[in-house]
Amino acid sequence: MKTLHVKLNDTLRALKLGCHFDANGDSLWCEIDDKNVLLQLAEMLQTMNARVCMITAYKREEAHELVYHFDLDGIMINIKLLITDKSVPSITPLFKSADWTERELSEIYGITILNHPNPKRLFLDEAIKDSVLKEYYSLSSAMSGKVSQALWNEVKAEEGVRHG
Amino acid sequence: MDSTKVILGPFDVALEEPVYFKIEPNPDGKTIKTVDMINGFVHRGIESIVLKRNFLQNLIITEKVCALCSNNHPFTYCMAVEKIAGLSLPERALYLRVVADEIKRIASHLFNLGMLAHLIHNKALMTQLLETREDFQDLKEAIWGNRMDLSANTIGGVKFDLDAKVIASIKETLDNTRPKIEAFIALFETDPTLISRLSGVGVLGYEDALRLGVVGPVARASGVNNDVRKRSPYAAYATLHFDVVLQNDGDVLSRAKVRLYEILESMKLLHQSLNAMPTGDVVLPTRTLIPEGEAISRTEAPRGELVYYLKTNGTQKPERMKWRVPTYMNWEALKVMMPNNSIDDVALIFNSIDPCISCTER
Repeated sequence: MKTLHVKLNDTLRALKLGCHFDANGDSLWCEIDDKNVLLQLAEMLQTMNARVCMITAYKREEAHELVYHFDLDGIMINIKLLITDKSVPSITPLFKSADWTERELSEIYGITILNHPNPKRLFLDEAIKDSVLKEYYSLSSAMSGKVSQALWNEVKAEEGVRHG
Repeated sequence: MDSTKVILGPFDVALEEPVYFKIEPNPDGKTIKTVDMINGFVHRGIESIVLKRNFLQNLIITEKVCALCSNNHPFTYCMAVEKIAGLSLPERALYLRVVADEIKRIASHLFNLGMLAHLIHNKALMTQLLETREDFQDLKEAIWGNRMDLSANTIGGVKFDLDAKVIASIKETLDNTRPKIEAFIALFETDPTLISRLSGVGVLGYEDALRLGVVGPVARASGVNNDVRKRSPYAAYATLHFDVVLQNDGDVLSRAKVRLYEILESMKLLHQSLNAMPTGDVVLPTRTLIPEGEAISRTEAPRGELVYYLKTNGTQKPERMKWRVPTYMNWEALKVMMPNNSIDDVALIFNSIDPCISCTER
């Protein structure tokens, strides 16, 4: 793990990024505000056989802060990206492991993921609008499996079309 | 052949949890060409709920995210809070956390194997596996007063302690069940009926496992070592000796074998922790206010790597909290495992990733 620390430090210094390891030495934190740098870093990590563990987002005033969590040989690399225009390029073409977590970003925070190969909703029904984290929905209307009069009517209507 | 799709679900595919498979069969009508999955039937918005509770209340919410990994959620959450507050735990608590986690892991693996036996209609084997699990359920009930949600962890330590009598009873259970586990291993290694039924089913190769970033026994059955206990040790794992179980075939049989051998490793870990446990406090004596900060923590849950991210702002509620459960990574691998397998085996393959839907969708 020591050699990896040294290697990461050298690489990141070459890229002129402000990064630091946390006290335990098992996670690295970097802050960037340029989406191209994110793609560059992602490409670099991809060649090092990293994988995406998770992507977190939260709202900071009008901007969003995203944190990309990559695992590289037991070290968690956390890359923080500040975005102001609610859109971010997809890293799923590089990392298949980012597929679900990027789709979740768009349904919970309404962040547009550019160039995602499979931009379908992940968990929430199409009828629910984007960016729902802070809103209240009753459980039965939030789930895809909602069973309500409205759904039943839809089923009956479709049956009518099929059976004439 | 028309383009009929086979629909399985949303209810009762393998477990009682809802998932919905849309399967396009090959022209023979018996095997799978492509599979599509629709999720979200049990999305409850827990990540929003935790922002409205304080740090102690969230111990309870996180424990309720999942039943089978219920110990790992508060455990990993506590680790994140402790990192932010800069707490260093009493030694004894670190060992007790390992004890709780490994007992939970054994019970969870046995449950999954029991379900596997159920799905191949081997009722005798299922009974034996679940009876063995029952010993661990009894153990949990005796120690924590509860068979599923242990409520073992708290911020700054654990909520239970083990005296000599309880330690002896844990060791007795381990000694009694060990020969049973060894017999199961012998069965999975040699029984021709089991092997022909399970080998070559739902194969996930090494390259695909790496590409998809799968975790836990699913990764290890394909030869990928992602065991957090070894790769990024936490609690007392750095001081304990155990082997990471790896298999190479990546099929349902390999995943079952990984779980069986891991039970033996967990027993090794339990014996070591029970013997090496120092005396002393089990929890920090004072409560701390949680300062502003952020942290990421992860543990090896029975199903694989569990990751928690926590951001705090100086109030006693989280500003943002997010977690990712093992099934979240393994689910997408089903699209690689299933094609060209028999439609009858969908539930069997699905069960082999040890799915936990309620915690995946939160």
